[in-house]
Amino acid sequence: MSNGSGTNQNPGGLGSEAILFTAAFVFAIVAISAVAFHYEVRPKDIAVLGFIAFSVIILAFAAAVLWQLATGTIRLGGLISEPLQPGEPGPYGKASLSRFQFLIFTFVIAGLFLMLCIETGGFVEIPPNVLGLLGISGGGFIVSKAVGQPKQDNPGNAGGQGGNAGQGGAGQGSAGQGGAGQGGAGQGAAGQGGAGQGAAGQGGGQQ
Amino acid sequence: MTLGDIGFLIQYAVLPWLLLFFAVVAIQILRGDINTRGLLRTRSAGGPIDPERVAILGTTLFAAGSYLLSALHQGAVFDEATHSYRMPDVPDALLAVLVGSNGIYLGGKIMRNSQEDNRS
Repeated sequence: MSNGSGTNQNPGGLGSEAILFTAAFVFAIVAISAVAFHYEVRPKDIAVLGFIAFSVIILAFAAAVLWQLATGTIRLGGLISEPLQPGEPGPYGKASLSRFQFLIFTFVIAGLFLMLCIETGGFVEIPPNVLGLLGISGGGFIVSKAVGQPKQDNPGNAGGQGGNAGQGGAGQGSAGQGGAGQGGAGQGAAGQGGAGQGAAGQGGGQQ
Repeated sequence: MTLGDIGFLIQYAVLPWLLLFFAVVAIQILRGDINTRGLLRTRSAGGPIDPERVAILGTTLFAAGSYLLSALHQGAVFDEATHSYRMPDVPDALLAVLVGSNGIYLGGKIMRNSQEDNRS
């Protein structure tokens, strides 16, 4: 793919690696099965062993992520920042109070949920007003984005910007894409609709 | 060893992980590795501190802290109707304060935007 010729430079080597891997995988499965039959391992024990292996893998993933966060390999610098606006200095945009609020409430509720689950030994229900706490924060964030969107003289352009910036999240992306499609067409009435939707998607220059 | 025993062990691995994750984020915010520039200002470069932003920041920290302390003190609540445990409720007054401060924040934002539009 890199040279653009569309041909594989070493098809024989790649094929032999794949065959070798498949053979090793099948051999490992057969060997594990043979050991299980030899020692008459019960299905329940297999489930426990599988659960242990699965847990170790998931915890290893979690530990790797935490390590990379702590060492800075995964950068959190823009965690609560707005997208960088044109002409704005620095690697990150301005910090967003709405994002910060959402972060704090998420941490509190997620941490409490886990601790109460451990306390009770099972899942605990989340009351509606606790979800409301997150909803207030999320709703404020969305309204803030809509209000902070800078007004454009050309509504078609405004819709187009919303489409480009709205790619970060699922909800934002769908709103922004509507703006991009309509704004890009350069139609007056359709472009105005696009500007409004783009405001929700982009996040605006004045957060 | 049963599946329950493993689950028991894992929950004590997940809790430290989550707390460490929170700690990493908190430390990076305090050290300035996570950008907080302009958190209390409408404009990132210069400009005065907006009072409504200070209010919503204070309200957020107060609401989160008070609910955390209340829930830790209270623990999981047993619901007689559903025969299950649930998280403690957030007091309605706290929600009202939060809605009010968010409303003031958004109102201030709308006002500032309309003033800027009038100037331009």
